[in-house]
Parts: sequence; C-alpha cells; structure tokens
Amino acid sequence: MTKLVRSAKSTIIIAILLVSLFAVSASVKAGPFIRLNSNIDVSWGEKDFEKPVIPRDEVRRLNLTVKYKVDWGGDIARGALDAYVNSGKSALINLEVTDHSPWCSVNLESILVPVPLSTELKTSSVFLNLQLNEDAPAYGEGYVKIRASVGVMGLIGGFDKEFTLDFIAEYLPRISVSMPEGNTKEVSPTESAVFPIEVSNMGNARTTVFFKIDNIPEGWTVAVTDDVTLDEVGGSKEIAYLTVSPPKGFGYHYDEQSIIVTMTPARAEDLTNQGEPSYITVVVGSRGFSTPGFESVLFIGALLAVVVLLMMARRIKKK
Amino acid sequence: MGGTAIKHKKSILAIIVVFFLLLSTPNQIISAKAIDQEDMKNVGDISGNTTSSGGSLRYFLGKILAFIIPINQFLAMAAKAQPEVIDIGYGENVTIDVGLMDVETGEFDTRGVPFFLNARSINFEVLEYPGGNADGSWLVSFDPPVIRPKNGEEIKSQLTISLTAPSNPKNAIKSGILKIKLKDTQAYGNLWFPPELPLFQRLLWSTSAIFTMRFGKYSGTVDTEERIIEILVRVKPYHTVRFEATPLIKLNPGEIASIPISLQNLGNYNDTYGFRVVSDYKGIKISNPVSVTLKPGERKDTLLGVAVSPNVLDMGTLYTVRIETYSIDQSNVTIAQRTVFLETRGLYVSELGWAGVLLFCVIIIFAVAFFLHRHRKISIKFHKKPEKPWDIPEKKEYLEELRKEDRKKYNTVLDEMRKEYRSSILSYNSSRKAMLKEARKIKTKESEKEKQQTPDIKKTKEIKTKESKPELPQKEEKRKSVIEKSAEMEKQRREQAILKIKKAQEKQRRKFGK
Repeated sequence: MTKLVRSAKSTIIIAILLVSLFAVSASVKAGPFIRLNSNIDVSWGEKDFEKPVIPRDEVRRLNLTVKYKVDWGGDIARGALDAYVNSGKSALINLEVTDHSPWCSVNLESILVPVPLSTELKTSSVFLNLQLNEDAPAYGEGYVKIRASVGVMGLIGGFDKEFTLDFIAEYLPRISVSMPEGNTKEVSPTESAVFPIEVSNMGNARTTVFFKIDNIPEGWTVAVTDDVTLDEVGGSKEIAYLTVSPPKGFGYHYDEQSIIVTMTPARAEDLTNQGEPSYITVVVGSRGFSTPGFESVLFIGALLAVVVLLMMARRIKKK
Repeated sequence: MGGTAIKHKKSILAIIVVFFLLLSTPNQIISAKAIDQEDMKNVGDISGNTTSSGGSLRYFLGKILAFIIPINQFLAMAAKAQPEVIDIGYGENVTIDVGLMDVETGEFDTRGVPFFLNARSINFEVLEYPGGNADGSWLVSFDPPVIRPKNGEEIKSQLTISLTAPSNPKNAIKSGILKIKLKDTQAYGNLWFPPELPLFQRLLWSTSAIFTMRFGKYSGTVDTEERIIEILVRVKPYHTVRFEATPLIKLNPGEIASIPISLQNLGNYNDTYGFRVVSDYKGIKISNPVSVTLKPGERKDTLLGVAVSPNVLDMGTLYTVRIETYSIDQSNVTIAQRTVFLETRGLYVSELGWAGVLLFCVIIIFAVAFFLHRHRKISIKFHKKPEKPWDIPEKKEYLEELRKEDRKKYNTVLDEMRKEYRSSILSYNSSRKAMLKEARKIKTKESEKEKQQTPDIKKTKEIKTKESKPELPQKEEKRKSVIEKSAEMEKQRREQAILKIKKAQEKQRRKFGK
C-alpha cells in the first residue's frame, strides 16, 4: 500500500509539474499567463522639432528615448522577474520605421535597442535620422511611424505598439526668372520700354516675390510691379512688368542706363520668411529727338509764314 | 486504516501544498488581464503587488519557473552600420563599417561561431541605392566581401562607397537610403544534446529543444538569416554649370543687344545661378546676365545685355568679356566661367548726324543751282548764242526760193550756212571760256587783295573808308573794259560772219551771172 501511495504521489507531482510547464509554455504564446508584461514607450524631445527641418541640406538627428518596464502582479511573477533580472538579461526592443512621408528619408541608428531587465522603469536611447527632399512642402506636416516591439522573453509577455512622430519642413524659397523679350531695349525719348518678367515658383510653398529697384538714374522714371504671388504647384508662373521711361527734355538724346531689379521671394503665409534675392539687369537706350509735343502746330505755322512771305515778294515785284 | 493515514501524512501534506499553489494560478491570470498593458502612463515606475499569504512560496515557485523557462536570446541578431549617416559628394569616397551587432552591448559582435553552430559565413550585397544606379554612379565595395567569423574578432566589413557624376545630368543623384543586405549563413550542429555544454545545462537545453522551444529539429540544417542595414546618405549639393560655346558676336557701333548665353545645370539639385561680368572696357556697357534657376540637367538661355558706344567709324574692335557664374547658395564661389568674344565694326551715324548730312546736301544743291543760274544769266547777258542762219526769216525765204528754183544751188547754200554756223559756234564757245577765265582771275585778285588788307582791322577800316571811294571807279572801269572787250570781239565776229556771207553771195551772183 505504501509503495502504491508513494508511486501515486510522485506521479501526481510530476504530472502537475509537467502540466504546469506546458500550460505556461502554451499561455505565453497565446497571452500572458503570469502577470509579467512588457511595456514600451517611445518619446522624443519636443525641442528637437521646434525648428522646422530644412529640406535638402539638413539631417535632423533626433534622440528617441525608449522606456521599458515589466508590469508584474503576484508573487510568482515577482519571483520570476527577479530571477530574470538577476540573470542580467536585457529586453531587446525592435524599432522599425513602418511608414513616413514620401518626401523624406529616415533611418535609425540601431533597430535593436537593449534595455536591461529591471523591476523599475528603464530607459535607453537611439538616434533617428531624418532628411527631407527639396520638394517637401513647407510647413506641411510630415510624419514618421515607428513600431516598437519586443518578443516574448521567458515568462515575460511581448509588446507591440506604433508611435507617430510629427515634424514640419522649412520653407525653401527658389524662383526662376526669364525675360521673354530680352533684357535690352532701344526707345525714343518720348517712348517707354516695357520688359515683361516671367517668374516661376520652384520652391516648396506659395511664394510672394517682391520687386525692388535700387538707384534709379536721375531723370529716368522706372516702375515695376510691386509683387506677384505664385502658387505652390511647381512651375506656376506669373508675369511682372518693368517700365522704364528715359528723360524727355527737349533736344537730341543719346542716353543709356542699366537698371537692376532685385526680386526677393518670401513665403506667402509669412512674408518675413524671405529667401535669397535674385537680380535682373536691363539696359535701355534712348536715342532721338525729343520735341515739346506742339511741333506739328509750329510746322504748320512756319509753312503759312513762308507762303505769306512769297506772296508779299510777288506783289512787290509786280509793283 | 487510521495508522496508514498517519504514515502518509507527509506525502498528503505535499500534495495539498502543490494543490494550493496551482490554485493560485487563476488569480495570476485574472490579475494580469485586469491591467491595461499598453498604458504606461497609468502605471508607476514600479508596478506590481504581492500577497501576504503564502507569498514566499509563490515567489520561490516563480523563481523556479523562471529557471525552467529561461530567456532564450541566443538567436537574437541585429546588423548595424557605423556611422549610419554619411555625407558624400560627386567624386568622393566614404568608408564605413557594417556588420553584426552584439545585441547586449550594441557594439560589433565578437562571439564568432557559437557552440551550437558547426560553421558560419556572412556576406553582403547592396539592395537599394539612393535614387537608383542606372548610370553606374554608385560604386560600393566590401572589404572583406565574405566574413568567416572567428571568436574574438569583430564581425564587420569595411564598406567603401564612391559616387561619380552620372553620365546623363538629368539622372541626378540625390540623398536617400542605401540598403545593404547582410546574409548570415549558419550550419547548425547537434541541437538536441550539444556536447559542448555541461551535463546539467545540457539537460535543460534538451528540455527546451524537445518540449518548450522545440528547436532540436534544426540540427544538421543550414539556415540563412537576412538582415537589412539602412544607411542614410546625404548627397552634398554639387553646384556646377556648363556653358555652351558662343561664336564671335558682331555688333555695330551704337547697337544695344541681348546676347543669349546657353547653360546647363550639371549639379544634382535645383540651383539658381547668378553672374558676374569681368570687363574693363570703356567702349561697351555690359549688364550682368539675368539670374536663372535650373533643374538638374536642364538647359536654358540667359541674356547678356550689351550696349556699344557710338564710334562714328569702327574698323573692327575685339572685346573679350568674362562671365563668372556662382550659385546663390555659395555666392562667393565661382563655379564656372566663360569668355564671350564681341566684335564691333561699322559706321555709326546718329539721327543728328543724318540731319546734318541732309542739311549739307541741301546746301550743296542750292549752291550748284545758284551757280548754274548765275552762269546762265551772265552768258545770256554777254554772249548771245549765234542763231542758225537758216532759221533767220530773210534767209529762210531766200532758201525757199532757191529750193524751188535750183535744187543744187540750194544744197550748196545750205552747206555753206551750216559751215558758217559751226564756225560761229566754235568762236562763241572759245570766247565764253576766255570770259569766264578772265572773271575768275579778277575774283582771285580781289580776294588776295582782301587778305593782304586784313592784318590790322582798324587800319583796314580806315583804309577802306579812305579808299572806298577811289576803288569803286577802278572796279567799274575794269568791268567796263571787260564788257567793252567782249562787245568788240562780238562785233568783230559779226563783221567776219557778214563778210563771209557777203563773199558767198557774191560767188553765187557770179555763178548766176555766168
């Protein structure tokens, strides 16, 4: 009987242990059996994205803080966690960029971040590198989706979560200027030279272009369109006009002047956000006689005077 | 019976303890599911709770369970690049390290071949180039290309990246991700019962290989693990431009022209180019070409404004104008330059000049007309052109009579008259020429005299006032003498002509008389 009881006892214990073993193994795959769960949080400094990212030229290096802790409940869980912590193991957190704005390139310093197992919250950091293409829309919201996950580690359950990181692109002002009618003109002193200036937007936002003329030559009158606003769509065009009137003083003129027009692009929504200016130089020649305008009346008068004189001369001759 | 129960009291107690321990597991499950696992903010730095009753036993059981189910990370692998961000420009090389990472330290792995592997090799290949590699602009090499890991040696390879400008500038290389595939080929040994491990660990290993992890089945197999390494490549802006060759440009003096200069962006980004003109010529005014923005590979014309000074006559002057280009991103760096040759040649007459020429022509015409008119007047006054004898009415009647009466005689008389007319015309012309010569001589003498009289204005005035009265008669006398002379000559000619006519008439009479 004693033998029977002993064998029954050992069979039951082994059976219980085996059942518990397999039960643990099965439950870990399906979900947490003992309350030992991984928990991850990924955060980044708000200051890192205070300034918009400059397209093309900047690689923004962003420090991602990876926080990891194990949620535990009950004595068994605590006992198991302590055992894992004492073994010096780390939780290997997988980071993966799952999606991002199409006009940016992203990579991570490391896709696997080890965080030492602890009964407390532990942090680790990893760099995320972000670079924007030159067509990134200025002040348009960009995003990077990062998936942080950790697999099952012994009795500790896994974790999987997606984090979205938002940023904005800086304004990249760029305009293309062309002069379809050339940059030189010859006019008479009584005429004005009109130059159409075709401006295209090659930047990444709606752009207002300011036109300015420095050093207007003395006696000349120069006027230019104050500003034009170009749509964000690449290559959208507008035409501005530069009008140059030479001096009109009476007499013969042979004047030549170079006029420089400065064009400064600015973001239409924030005109203080300006880019590097572009320049165009036009040459205007003024050649010819400038008459007071009533010369035709004078000519008719002179003709009449000649006729009268001739008639008088004939009469005198006849006498 | 009662005695048997007392005998097995210890065994029954052990069974009861195990039973209670097992009973606590549902509580663990319930408590674990009750917590929001994903909300870390709701949980403190330390989370968890323990129960007082039987806590130490359960705690001990937890430790045992952790021992039985260890954290198995021997298959955990990751690849890394160091540095993971590079800057590269056209014509540059960059070398970085790529390899396997030790997941515990984050450094390159030095564990070589683990005890459960028989052999291992790692090789690399490029999966994706930033912007593609259609033109073969990217050149990537690994040193060594294949790694046979050894214990204590870092599992890494030196990756050298070279970038050259693409043959087609339109296929510009821009920043992006360079993806490298790392292939880790592993030949597994005996995973059921590895002889390298101590006996106790071997037993645990075997338990995992058979029951829990069940990896024993991979014994003797070859497996390839693939890892992707992503390197962020920032391609530096390459500012360069190609000028098209411009032929010699010919300009006229006073011309203002826009000279198109064609250029192409050979850089890798949209670029705006500004220009500087280097020219110290005073004869031409040159304006800076218009700023131009080009996409990679795009070709466009910019305009160089030239105004040539109005030299009246330019036999051909060659000007060399150097145009320097810069990107507005780096305005102090000249990225390309081109010399444009200009030649000015020709005659320039301004509108004012044309008006002067016209006025000069009018004056000339008036002068000529006046001269002719005056000449005609003089000639009419002093030299009457001899009349044709056959047109004189008397002679005309006579000739008519002769024609009716004697045809032969008529012809001879007419011939005589013609000869006579011809001779009189000749003498008329010669006398007219002599007259004109004489008139010119008088004029020149007068002008010479006037010149001689100019040295002292006062004196000349005095002399003029004094001598004006006596000079006038002299001039008049001279004029009179000239007129008289010409009149005498005319008389003589007329007399001669009359004599000739008379002689001819006498001859005719004689003939008729016979």
